[in-house]
Amino acid sequence: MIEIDNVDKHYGNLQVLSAVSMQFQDGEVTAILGPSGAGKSTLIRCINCLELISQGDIRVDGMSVLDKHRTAEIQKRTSMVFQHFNLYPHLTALGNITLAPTKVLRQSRAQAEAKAMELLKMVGLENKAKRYPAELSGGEQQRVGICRALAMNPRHLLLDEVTSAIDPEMTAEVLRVIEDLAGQGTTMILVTHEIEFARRVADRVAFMERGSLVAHQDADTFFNRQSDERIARFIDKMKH
Amino acid sequence: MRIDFSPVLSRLDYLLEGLAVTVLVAVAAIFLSFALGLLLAICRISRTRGLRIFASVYIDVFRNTPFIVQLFFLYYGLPEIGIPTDPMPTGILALSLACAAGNAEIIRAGIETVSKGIVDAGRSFGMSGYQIYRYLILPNALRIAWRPLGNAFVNLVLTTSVLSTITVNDLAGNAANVSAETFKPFEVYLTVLVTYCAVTFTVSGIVNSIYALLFSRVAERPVMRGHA
Ligand SMILES: Nc1ncnc2c1ncn2[C@@H]1O[C@H](COP(=O)(O)OP(=O)(O)O)[C@@H](O)[C@H]1O
Ligand SMILES: [Mg+2]
Repeated sequence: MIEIDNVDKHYGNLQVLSAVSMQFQDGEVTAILGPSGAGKSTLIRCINCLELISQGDIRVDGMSVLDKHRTAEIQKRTSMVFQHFNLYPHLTALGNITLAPTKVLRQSRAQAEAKAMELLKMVGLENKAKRYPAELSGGEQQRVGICRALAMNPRHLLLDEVTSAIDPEMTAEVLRVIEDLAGQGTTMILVTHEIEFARRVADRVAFMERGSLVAHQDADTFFNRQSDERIARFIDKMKH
Repeated sequence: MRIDFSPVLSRLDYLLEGLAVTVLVAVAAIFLSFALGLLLAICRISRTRGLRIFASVYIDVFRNTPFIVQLFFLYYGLPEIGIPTDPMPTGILALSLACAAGNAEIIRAGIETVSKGIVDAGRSFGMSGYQIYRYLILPNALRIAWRPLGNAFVNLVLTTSVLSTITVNDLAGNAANVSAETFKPFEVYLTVLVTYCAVTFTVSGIVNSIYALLFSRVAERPVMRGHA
């Protein structure tokens, strides 16, 4: 479980998160929606200990992000998939996926590679294992990014607008992978602008605006019985 | 005046001995100045203030003083404070120390261009600071720095000729002797110029081959279809 407790985040004078409180239950898929600049990326970066929070607390499976000794453990349990892939350009797809498992989890090369090949197969890229990122399309790179995150066996998968840097004709192949994962009960927090996709896969939806959490509802209520007029308008606008 | 290369040919052994010294000195100084430059670059952007200051002062001092004066300072100055010097080791040391400063700046620039995204990725998977440096930052920084480093190595090869001023018997030094003996400076120095050219071309060739071997598929470039 991930508990966000009254979190503030400032960059200098700029307040990016204000008094955000919410919980993510195990096995749930939560979509985080909201306009650009709302603080969605910042929130999941704070969960992953990539950013320090300014106020409040975040606990991942009971461990506080404020406890420096727990940072490594929290990062092992939460894996990020990045908007711009952030693949290591000097390593092949296989190398990208096996680096952290061998160095951080201390798996043997053989074990890590077997797992990596299994994951590549799952996303339909088993024949591109020896390619470098520069030799892959955006959709392929992002599928490798998903494999890289899954290879850590994370309890919580954090996905930040994973299709927004990909050509439209290639988003489907990435979304299909995520949808499969959702079906398998992987806990996911996914920031997205793909409203139809969120409707299909999300159990719950959080809506953020200007650093605040405006709504956190089950997906059915959010999409089908939205009482907040501004959110309803946002949903409507995103559909087109 | 007649152009006549026969005196050069008669002293070819001696000139080749000089070439061997030049190559030896250059290779040793290339390795040393690279290793030292890497250390300095890491110090230069370290979080520890003391290391940062040490590296900047070092780099500034060596980049803002003439090499020949650094060389004389070491070769003639050190014995005065009780440290004996020998031409060849002192020459290699001086060359390595001086070129390390330039290499450090090149490598630092390389490190600074490594995208923050891959560092984020490494951190997000719980890699330690050392692991991120070793497995993510340095390989990419060195790829970016590799060609400018190659130019620096070529410069280093040419600068070895200055060591003849402290009696190192390198190509330039032996050439001066042959020229003085034979009164054929045109032929001697023309031969030596061509030889230096051959050495630097070889160095560039090696640098480029290493780049092709290690990095050719890494750099951003159009996606190549249909090659597995
Ligand atoms: N490292 C940073 N330094 C300063 N401001 C930042 C930084 N990262 C994000 N911001 C600012 O924080 C706000 C929220 O950013 P972000 O979390 O990326 O929003 P979202 O993902 O919802 O689009 C934006 O105004 C952005 O400019
Ligand atoms: Mg964002």
